[in-house]
Amino acid sequence: MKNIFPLTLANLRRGKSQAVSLFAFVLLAALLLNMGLLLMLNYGSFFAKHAEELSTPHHLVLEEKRLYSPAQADYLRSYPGVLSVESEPVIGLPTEIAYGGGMSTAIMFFSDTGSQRTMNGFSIFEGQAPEAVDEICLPYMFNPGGGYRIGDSFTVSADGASYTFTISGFTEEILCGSPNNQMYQAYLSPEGYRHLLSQMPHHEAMILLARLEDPENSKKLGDDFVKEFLFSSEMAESHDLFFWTMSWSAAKMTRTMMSDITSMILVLFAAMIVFISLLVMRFRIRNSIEESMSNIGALKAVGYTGRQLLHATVLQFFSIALVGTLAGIGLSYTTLPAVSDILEAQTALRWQQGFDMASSLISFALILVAVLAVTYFCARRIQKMQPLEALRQGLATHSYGKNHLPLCSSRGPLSLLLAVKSALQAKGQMLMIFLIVAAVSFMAAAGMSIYDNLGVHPEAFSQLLAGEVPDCAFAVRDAEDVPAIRAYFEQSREVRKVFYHRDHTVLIDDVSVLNIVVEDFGLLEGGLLYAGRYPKHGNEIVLSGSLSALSGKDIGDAVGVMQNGRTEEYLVVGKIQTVNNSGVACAMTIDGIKRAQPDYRPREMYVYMHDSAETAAFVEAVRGQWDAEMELVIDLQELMEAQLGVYGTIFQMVAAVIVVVTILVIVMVLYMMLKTVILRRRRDLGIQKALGFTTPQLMNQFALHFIPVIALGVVAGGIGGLFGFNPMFVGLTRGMGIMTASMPAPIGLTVVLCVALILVAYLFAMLIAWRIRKISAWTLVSE
Amino acid sequence: MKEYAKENTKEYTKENMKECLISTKKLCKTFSTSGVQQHVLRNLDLEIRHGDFTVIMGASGAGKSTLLYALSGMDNPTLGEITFNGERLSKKNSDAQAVFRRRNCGFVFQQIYLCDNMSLMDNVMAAGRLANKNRAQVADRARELFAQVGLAEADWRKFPAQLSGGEAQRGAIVRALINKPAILFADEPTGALNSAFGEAVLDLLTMANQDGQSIVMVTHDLKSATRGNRVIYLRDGVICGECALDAYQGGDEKRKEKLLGFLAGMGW
Repeated sequence: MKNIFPLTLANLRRGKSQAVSLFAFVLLAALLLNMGLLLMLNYGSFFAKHAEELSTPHHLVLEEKRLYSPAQADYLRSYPGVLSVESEPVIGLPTEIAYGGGMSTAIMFFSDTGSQRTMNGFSIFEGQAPEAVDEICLPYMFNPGGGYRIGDSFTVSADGASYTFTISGFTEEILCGSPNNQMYQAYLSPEGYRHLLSQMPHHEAMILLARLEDPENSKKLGDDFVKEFLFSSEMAESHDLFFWTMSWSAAKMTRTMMSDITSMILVLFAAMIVFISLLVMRFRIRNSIEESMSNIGALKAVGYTGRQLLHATVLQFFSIALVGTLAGIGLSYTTLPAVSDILEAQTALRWQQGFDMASSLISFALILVAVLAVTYFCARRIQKMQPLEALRQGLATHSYGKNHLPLCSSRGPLSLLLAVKSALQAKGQMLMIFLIVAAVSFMAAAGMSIYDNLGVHPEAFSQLLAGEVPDCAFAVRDAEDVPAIRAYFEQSREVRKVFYHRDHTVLIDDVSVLNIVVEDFGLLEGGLLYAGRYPKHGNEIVLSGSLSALSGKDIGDAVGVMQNGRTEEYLVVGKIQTVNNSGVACAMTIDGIKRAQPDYRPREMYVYMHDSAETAAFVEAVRGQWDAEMELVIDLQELMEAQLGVYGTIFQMVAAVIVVVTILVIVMVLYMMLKTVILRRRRDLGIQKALGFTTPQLMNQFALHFIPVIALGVVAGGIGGLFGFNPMFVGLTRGMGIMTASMPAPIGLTVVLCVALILVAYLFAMLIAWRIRKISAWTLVSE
Repeated sequence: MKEYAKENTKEYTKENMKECLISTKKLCKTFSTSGVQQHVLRNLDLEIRHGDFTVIMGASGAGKSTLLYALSGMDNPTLGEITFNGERLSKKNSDAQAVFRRRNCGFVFQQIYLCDNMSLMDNVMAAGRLANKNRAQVADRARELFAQVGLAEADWRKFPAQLSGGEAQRGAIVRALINKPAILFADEPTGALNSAFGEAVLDLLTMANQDGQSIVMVTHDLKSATRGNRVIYLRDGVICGECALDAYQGGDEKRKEKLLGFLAGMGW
């Protein structure tokens, strides 16, 4: 074994710059892979661990006080797997708050810091506990997402009144601290709590908390609880209930969604970089063997065995990969604080990850095993080579192939012909470059789609996440006032469309399902439906893809829906997609809901404005005219902007990273290829210079050798990325309920990107080929 | 063969046959390696004349190849001047020298140096099309030259690695002559060939010279040297002596003896 060390060292010394490029590739692959794995393997468990540290309840019920009964607590205590149950009086209300630069609706409940609790204890994250009457502690999300700082004012509007507080601190909330769940828990001092209660006694409420042996059962517990109590005959007949539940499972899904998507993108990208590194390594090994063929022959002639020489080659590339992998893994830990900061903006959870053996080992093993395998298989031919054959430059194995584009009969500029000739003769190399460039261009084009659809123009993405997104939505207190208000909307010049739209909870096979009730599905503008058709009649229903899979019901099947204490059968006529309620949803017409609730009268309306109209001004006008009659007024465009704003920033950064890495990969691949080709063809270069080719001619010839295949790869990858983005996105988000996506392809941006990539490649190729200038024909010939 | 001679004599008539083609003035070439300077050529004054078959000889390290490539513009001198057909070669930049070479010089190397990724014909066409945009004209001339050197179509369609050394070197001679250069530079053209192939290559060079082609050849081989009509001996970068010979007739022992005597006097 020790006999091969000098050989390995000599090989490394001879190809220093190539070793550095290969090292850079492996480092990049290891960095991305380990970062992705760290997120994938740790963020979810961090969430669970952190929830345990904060004694987070796994199930929460928030209801107005009159709905609470001790029987509910007893039910939870007797439920299998429940470890402990607590209840606490709170002040709970739907409200409008300023968030992220716009107005947002939310369910807020206020707790007294003086209350005794074992679950979800008051835990200050920043600042201090409220002491004065008007001081408040909010969930930490209000800082990175909402834009609030300690000392700022915070106003809650309800029942036509506003209540303003001063923020004294932020708490870390697991269940009720994210805009995705739209339920927030705030804390007041004992005096502040009593003061607020005195001002809104009708909003006195209760929270009922439970902790489970297995938190993953929290959704089942929630569904059973809802079935037992919300759909009980007493509650079922009541309308306008203030009754909300939150499960640990739902909170986990929304809080870790971003990290899941980001980690999957990173791992995918890393896998591609590893693949490219292996292709480049294969190229390097083959060239290295060709270049040192006579050396191999000489070594074999003096007595080195084929196995020793093979091991020397394997050790050469393995050592580069080993150092690169270790450096990449190490570097990934230094980037974690930046990643954590980005995720914190979405999750409001401060994730501090230390060294993780599992992800580091997996990254280490994956890359090195791949490198070993590729190196061994590519270098195997050294073993079989006869010394004489190697000394004669491997002529026995040389394949002459076809003489493409004979110069005596081919028309065209000489440099172009020579460039294309040499490209056609190196088909294997050209195929490899094509694959590499197409793969990275695919990712870059997908990155452009991410940038445009998720970062800059997220309207289509918003609809995927939120479903139907009107300009504004209203909930009227009394159904009696609805006709007049609707007439007001329909007569307003700014309004282009109004229809009834309601979201509420039903039970299907004991699972709580978000039911979307629409006056006329033909009026919807979002792309919810992906199979079959929307319901037209009262006995028809559409199910979400996730619900269809969960219940085993498909188009043409009958499904029982429990609402208001009654179960009615509906025919499944289509399938929709949504991420709301973890993707578990259905939809029916107003006639459909009336089958279970004959006296139902719609109170909720979706309003769509003309393009020229100002939604904010319209909403203000409605508030001015109908404030007393309105239960909820939401500027949805503003809400979406506020909620998705943080996603936009994150995705823009992800897209930027992808595009930068793409350019880096193309440049690095070109550097390695060109350097190798220049070195291999040094002799031919010298001959051509001796014959009279000028340096610019030779530089151009070199660039033209690569540019056509790079251009083809860029175009193929660009087109693939444009068309492949939606299927890729669906693949990543299917678990959340997305079944189909048709986000618009940013053709202009992608074309600009492709042209830029080709230009960068050409300019870089010319830059590398510049080195020909400094060498005289005599030096090239004599070396 | 006759056609070739006629074409050549159009440019190089008896009146200008011995006119100066290349001249050097105080030509110096120094190489620096790890701070140590090596003076390979020292103040060389030399003239190469039209129609001559000039042979440069000397011991290993005398500076023969360095001189050859300096004369052809392949390498830049450290000091001194080189004038080629009235143009100051040493003043040109490398690209201008390349352009100059394609029109005025042909090269035959010891290692042959055909591009191994092109067929023999393509090697010749690459050189020819560089100076002449007329593809058909270049192709016709190439076929003509291949016939003259005894290479059939089956041979010039092959890649260099598929040819014998002699065939490849004959192909290299065709490449060197494709643009009717003012001068052909040959650096040990038979060095890598066996005696039979070597003899064939020398015959081709001799024939070309007899048809008026000016040749400068570097060699350390006596048999090769006897082909020249002018032998220059280099030692330590300086011209020690010069020997004029009659035109080569083949198997002339007196020429060989004269040359041997000269070389003995040079200490060869």
